[in-house]
Amino acid sequence: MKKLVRKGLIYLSFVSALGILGACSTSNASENADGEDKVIIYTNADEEPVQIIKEVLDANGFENQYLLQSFGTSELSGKLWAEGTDIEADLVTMSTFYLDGVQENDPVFKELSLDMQPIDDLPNYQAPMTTQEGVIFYNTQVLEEADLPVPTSLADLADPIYEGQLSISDINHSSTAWLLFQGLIDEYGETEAQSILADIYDNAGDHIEASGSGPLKKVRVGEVALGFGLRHQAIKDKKEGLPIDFVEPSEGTYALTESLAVIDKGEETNPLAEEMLNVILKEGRADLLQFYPSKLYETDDLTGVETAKNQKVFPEALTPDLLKKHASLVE
Amino acid sequence: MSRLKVEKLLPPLILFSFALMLFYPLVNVMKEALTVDGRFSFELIQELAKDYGWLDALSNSLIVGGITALLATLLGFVFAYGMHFTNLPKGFKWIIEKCFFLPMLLPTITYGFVLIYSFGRQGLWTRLFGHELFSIYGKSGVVLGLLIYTIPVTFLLMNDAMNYLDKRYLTVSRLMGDGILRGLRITILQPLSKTFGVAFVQAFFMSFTDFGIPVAVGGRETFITTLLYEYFMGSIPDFNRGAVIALIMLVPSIISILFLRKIQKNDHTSPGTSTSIKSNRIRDCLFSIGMTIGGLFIVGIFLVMFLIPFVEGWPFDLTFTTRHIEAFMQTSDLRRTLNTGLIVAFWTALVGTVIAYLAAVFTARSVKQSMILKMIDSLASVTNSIPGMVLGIAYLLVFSGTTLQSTISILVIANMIHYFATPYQLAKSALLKMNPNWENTAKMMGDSWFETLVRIILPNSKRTIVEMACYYFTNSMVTISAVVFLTSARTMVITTKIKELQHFGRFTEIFILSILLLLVNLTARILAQSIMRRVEANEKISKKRFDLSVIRQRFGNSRGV
Repeated sequence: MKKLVRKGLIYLSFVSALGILGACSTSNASENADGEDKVIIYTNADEEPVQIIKEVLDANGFENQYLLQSFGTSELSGKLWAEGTDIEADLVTMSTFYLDGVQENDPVFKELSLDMQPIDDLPNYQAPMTTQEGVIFYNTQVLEEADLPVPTSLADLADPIYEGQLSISDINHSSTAWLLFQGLIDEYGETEAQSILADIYDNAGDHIEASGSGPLKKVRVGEVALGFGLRHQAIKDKKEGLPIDFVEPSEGTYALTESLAVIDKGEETNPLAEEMLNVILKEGRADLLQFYPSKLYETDDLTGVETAKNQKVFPEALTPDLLKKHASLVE
Repeated sequence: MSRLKVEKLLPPLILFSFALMLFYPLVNVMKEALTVDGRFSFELIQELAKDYGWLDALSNSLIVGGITALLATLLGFVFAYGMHFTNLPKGFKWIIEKCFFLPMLLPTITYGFVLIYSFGRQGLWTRLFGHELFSIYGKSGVVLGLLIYTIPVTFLLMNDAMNYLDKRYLTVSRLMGDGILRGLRITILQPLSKTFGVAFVQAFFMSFTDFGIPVAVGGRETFITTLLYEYFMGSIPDFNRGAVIALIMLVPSIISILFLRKIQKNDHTSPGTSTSIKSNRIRDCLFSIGMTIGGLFIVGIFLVMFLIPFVEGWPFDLTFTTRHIEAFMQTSDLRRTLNTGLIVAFWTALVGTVIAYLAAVFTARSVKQSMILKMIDSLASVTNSIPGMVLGIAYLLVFSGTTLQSTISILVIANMIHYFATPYQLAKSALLKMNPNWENTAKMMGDSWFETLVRIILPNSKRTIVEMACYYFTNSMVTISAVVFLTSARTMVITTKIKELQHFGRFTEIFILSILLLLVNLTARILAQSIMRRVEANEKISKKRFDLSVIRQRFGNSRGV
């Protein structure tokens, strides 16, 4: 009898050992159950809009009902492209042209009913959120120490005097670099732009960053003297009293919009996702305008914000294919 | 009464899991590489053969891997030599050894950032020395980072092999009047030739497949791993071409494993002997300087990691603050990352150890080596020849859209398979050393297979089990290569969070997470070591008791007790 009990115990412990596998998936299931109703938001946005999104959602009764995950632009687009509607996210914020490209390839996004009216006539699955503009910025101290002149145009960045002192982002990873490319191509044509870009890349050398905010980070800590990146970030640094200043390049200030979109998961689409989207726009636009001063909606109020002087639009529609074509200019 | 025999059922089950979790995903990568528009074709491979862009990345990886492996093997040898053949004080050696092990507790992605903040234009050491010592971007930075990554391993291999050297030869060689070089060659270099091969291949493989360091300091140079990442997670992903690159990446891996197998065959070790080391002040002095520099260099590089989180704003405002740590403690998603990392590492250690141990029990202690067991053994040994990134990609391709996608389970499975070989080998060699007749004896006593396992085999391999679990745990905490493709918003782990934080240049948080990771791994190591020490002490006591009882039995009667 004793032996039988012992045997039983041994087998029991064995079964429980095997049960580890099961337990593993249970622990995982409970994790899922915990996050099941939560809206998963994937975003490529910078720190400032991410902060605004969080604040707006929390202030409007959505606290603890969402999980926000940041990605680099290329990583998020890779995920959208590859996973389609299987993606974990319910709501995404992403460069508009990427959303268009993904949707064209395979319908992934849901038709939206927006509470606000965009000024442009746009496809019904995207709700523009921010406008990204590109400028040249520099560290005033480092530039002075290195005895370098302040550049006035994008083409100036190709000047060999800036060798090792320039940081730009990599067009294969970040669409911020595209703002630079667009300006050059639009102004000088593809062939000349290509040779200017080659020189710019030489100047930047090892300071070609994977993320759009990378160059400013390098300029801020003095790793390099100047860089090309997002206008609003440079303005913010300058306002905060850091030794940062910026120039709107003479070629013009080009822009890319980033939009919100809801993943169409059929029956499983989380209804809260679209609600959140509308709340972010309705309650968050005023704050977003402080960082991205461009009119996107009828109700946007631009009084008191400093807009770029020479806003320009690339003549051709922006698409992933065009990006690929432009990116090939530096290969 | 027919009884369910677990021991008959388990091996096919293990083999099946391997087929499902290793073989099938890899075949799928191959399929992806060989299909164009849904039909079989070599088009992609031909296309790649004409386009030389990727060759740059491949040759960069090969060159950097080769240089690193060469340097790491040499330095590993020199440091291990210093440990074994000098009369330096034990305490000094202990401290130096611990310095060398430090990098093993941190992910490679952290090394890259630490390098930037140590030797970059505004880095700690650049500022202290007043000028940039060297460029840390591009190949030189990658080699330096990879050296920090691989030296602990080559050092460990050399150090271990030197334990088995017959040091009496040294005395003989000295008596024969050999010169220093000849003596060194005959008594140390020749017996260690295999270890040199193993260390080189190991270091090469680690460097070739690493993703963390090139992504942090690679600059404009592309490496095979960064290229692979771009194909799968770049702005316009191309899975087909990425799969071809993944296949190409497998080639050096397979060659290195075949080479290792060849040189490790018939490798029998006999316990080494010790001999007194000739006193030589100059030699000791040189080694103490060299080893101090090596140790200080490693510690010095990582020092910045403990500084930046505690200053207001590097590099312009250096006032002390705990503001960043406090802010970090209040960020829920960073804390969640730490929790997820711990959960993944814990389950990997638990499930991985159980399965690796069971597999080893079957392959090491079955009298009949059936086909199934042979297949388990060879599959278990190839797992470490598959780069983590290739495994991650294979899982991404196979499990997207299934219930496993974005779960903790898939991370656990990926880590378990990725690191399977070492715990399995640890268990296998420990089990092979045990008396082969135990099972038979137990059977004769009427014990079932399972009872034998629990009563005899398990208690005799406690130490190994702890070692296996610890290996699994620390590696799961620091890995990035396989999981970088598999984590999701719900299942971010620390290393992938570090990769994400890099996008925002949030180095303070990166370093805080790294410190936490270090603390977790250090705790795991210390815990495992104290358990092993206790087990060892128990074993010693019981062995002593056993010896005493034998002595008593033998001599008791004659003493008339």
